[in-house]
Amino acid sequence: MSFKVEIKNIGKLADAELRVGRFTVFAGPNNTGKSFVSKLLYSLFDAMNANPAETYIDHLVSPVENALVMMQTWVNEKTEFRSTQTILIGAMLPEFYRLKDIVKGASIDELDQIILRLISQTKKMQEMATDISKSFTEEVKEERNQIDYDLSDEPPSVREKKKKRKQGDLENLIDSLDILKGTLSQTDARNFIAAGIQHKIEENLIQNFQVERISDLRSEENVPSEVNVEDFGSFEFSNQKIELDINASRIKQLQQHSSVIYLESPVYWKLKNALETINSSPGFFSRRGRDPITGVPGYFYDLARALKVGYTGDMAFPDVYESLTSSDVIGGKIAISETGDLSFQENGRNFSLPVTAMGIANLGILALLIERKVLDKGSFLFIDEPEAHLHPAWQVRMAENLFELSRQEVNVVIATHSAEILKWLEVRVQRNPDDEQLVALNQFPINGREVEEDFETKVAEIKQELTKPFSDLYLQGL
Amino acid sequence: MTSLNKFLEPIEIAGKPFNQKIKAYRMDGTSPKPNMRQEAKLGTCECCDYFKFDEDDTIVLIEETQLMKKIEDLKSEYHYLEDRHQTEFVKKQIRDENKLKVYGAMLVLCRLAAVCENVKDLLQTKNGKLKKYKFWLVASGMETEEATRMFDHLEDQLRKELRSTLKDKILGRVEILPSNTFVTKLSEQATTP
Repeated sequence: MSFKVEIKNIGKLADAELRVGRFTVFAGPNNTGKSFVSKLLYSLFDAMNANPAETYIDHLVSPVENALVMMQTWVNEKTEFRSTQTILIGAMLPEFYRLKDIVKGASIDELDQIILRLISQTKKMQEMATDISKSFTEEVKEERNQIDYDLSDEPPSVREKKKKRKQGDLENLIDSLDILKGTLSQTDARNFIAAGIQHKIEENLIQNFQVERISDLRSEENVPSEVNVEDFGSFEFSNQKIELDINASRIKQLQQHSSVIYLESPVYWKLKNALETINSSPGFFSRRGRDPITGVPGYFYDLARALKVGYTGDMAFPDVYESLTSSDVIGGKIAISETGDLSFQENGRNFSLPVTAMGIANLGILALLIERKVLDKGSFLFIDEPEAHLHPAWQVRMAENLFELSRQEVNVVIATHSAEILKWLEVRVQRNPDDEQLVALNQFPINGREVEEDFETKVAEIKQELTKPFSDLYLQGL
Repeated sequence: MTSLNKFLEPIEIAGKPFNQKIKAYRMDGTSPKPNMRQEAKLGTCECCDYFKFDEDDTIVLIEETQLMKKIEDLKSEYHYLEDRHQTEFVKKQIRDENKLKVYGAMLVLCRLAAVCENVKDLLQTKNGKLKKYKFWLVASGMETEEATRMFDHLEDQLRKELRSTLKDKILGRVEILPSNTFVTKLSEQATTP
C-alpha cells in the first residue's frame, strides 16, 4: 500500500506532496509541519474509519437528545402521582436509545434499510411527543392540573413561568423530531456516508488541533485549502466546513480494519484522571455555540476509549508483544484496570503510571495496544516522536518493533527527530532490499511536488540533517 | 597494449601493505612504479589511490586518508575562523577534496579505456552497459565510536554532493570506512571462496 497526499494552504504547507506507505516517516526540523500533517491525516483517516451512520446519527439526533435531557427534569420531579406526560417522557427515553441502537455496528451496505427503520422509529417518537403535548394542553385547559398541584407552593408568577418552560420544552422536542424525520427522508446511503464522514472530520479537526474554527487551520484566506488523498478522496476546507468527494468503495475497505490510533507522549497518561475530569465538564471550557476547547487533543480521549473496549479474538502480533515486554526491553507490561487506569506490572508488583519511567510507558502502551487487540492488520498507527523519553538503545527497539508491525500489515506513520531510528531503517533496507517498498520517507519542510529519489539518497539527506550537531561538535572538540 | 595487471599492488594503509595477497589497481602511482595517470596521458590530476572490482560487478574507487591529521591541519591553518564557520569550512574542504578525487579517478579510467581496449571491456558489464561505481573513503587513525558517528554524517553529505553531480546509475554507494573496518571487510572478501 502506498499513496500520495497533496496538501494545499493548510498549516505551514502551502503546496506539498508527500507519500504514505506501510512504514511512513516524517522527518525534519521543529516547526516544519510534521506533527501537523500526522494529526491532519489521523483526523481524516479516523473519520473515514468511523461508522459514518453512527457519527451522522449522533449528530442528527443530538437536538432530540438535548430536548429529552431538558424534559428529564419532568420525570425526576417529586410528585405524589405521576402525570400522563411524565410517564410518556419516561417511555420515550428507551425509544430514543432504540433509535441510536439501530445504527450501532451497522455496515455501509445496510444503510438504506437503516434509514427506513430510523424514519419509522422517529415517527413513533413523534406520535408519543404529540400525545404528551395533547395531554399537557388538556391539563392546562381544564386547569385541573398536575402542574398546579406540583407547583402549589410556588407564587403564581413562578408557576406561569414554569408552565411556559414546559410548553417550550415540548415544542422543542416536537420540532427536533420533525427536523430529524425531514432530514432522514431526504437522505440516501451515499450522502449518509458523506455527511457522516464530513461531520466526523470537522469534529476531529477541532478536537485534535484544539482550534475554535476549521478556518484557523488555513494559512491564506483567499487561497483554496485542500487535501487530496490518492484513492480515498479529496477534502476541501472552507471557513466553516469541509466539502468532500470520497471514494466510497475504498473507504468501505478501510472500515473493515479495526482502528486508527494516534500515540503521543505518555505524559498525557500520567495526567489521565485530571484530563478525563476536564473532558467530563466541557461546559466549563466551551464558548457559546462552540465545541469545548480544553487544550487536550481529542486523540488522547479516542485512544483511552479504544483501550477500554474489550476486543475479542487472538492478539494479532504476539511476536511483537513478546519482543516489547521481554526482559531486555521493558521486562513487564502496562496493564489497564476496568476504570481505564494504567499501571506497570513487573515481577508481580504493580506500579501506578505516575511513578513509572516514561520510556517504559512509551513502549508499554504500544504493547498494550497489541494485547488489547486494538491493533490489527490494516490498522493505521500514527506516532508523534516514537523516540520520546527513550534511551537510544530503546529507540532502536522501538524502530524494530514498529517496522515489524508494518511488515505484518499495520500502517505505521511516525514523525521523528531520531538519527538512531533513521540509521536503523537505513541498515534494515541495506540488508533486506525488499523492505524498501514498505518505506515512504518524507523530509520536511515540504513544498512542491514529490521528488523521485532512491531510498539511499533520501535517507542520507534526512540523516545528514539529524546528525549534523553531533558531527559539528565532534569536529569542534578535536 | 596496456595491461591493467601491471598496476595491481597490495593495498597500503598508512604507507604499509596490510596483506600481501589483498591487491587493487593503483591509480595514483608515481615513477618508478607504473603510473596509471601517465598511461592515460594525464598529468598529476587529483585521483583516488586504488580501484578494484567488487563482488557485485561494480567498480570500487578507494581513497585512503589520514582524516584526523587532515582535520587538525585544517583547523590549525584556519584557527582564526569562528567555531561554526571553521567547522563548516573544514567539512567543505574535505568534501571538495574527495569529490575531486572521485571525478579524477573516473577521468583516469575513462581516458585509460579510450587508449586501451581490454580496459574498456573491464569497465563494461557483459551486455555492454557501463558498470556502476562505489566510493570508499578509508580513514586511518580514527577508529573510535564517536569518529564513526561523525563519518556517518560526513558520508551522508559527501554522498549527497556526489549524487547531485553524478547520475545515480553511475555512482552507487559512498562509504567512509575506518581503516580497521576496511581491512576486515577486504579480508573477509579475500577468504570467501
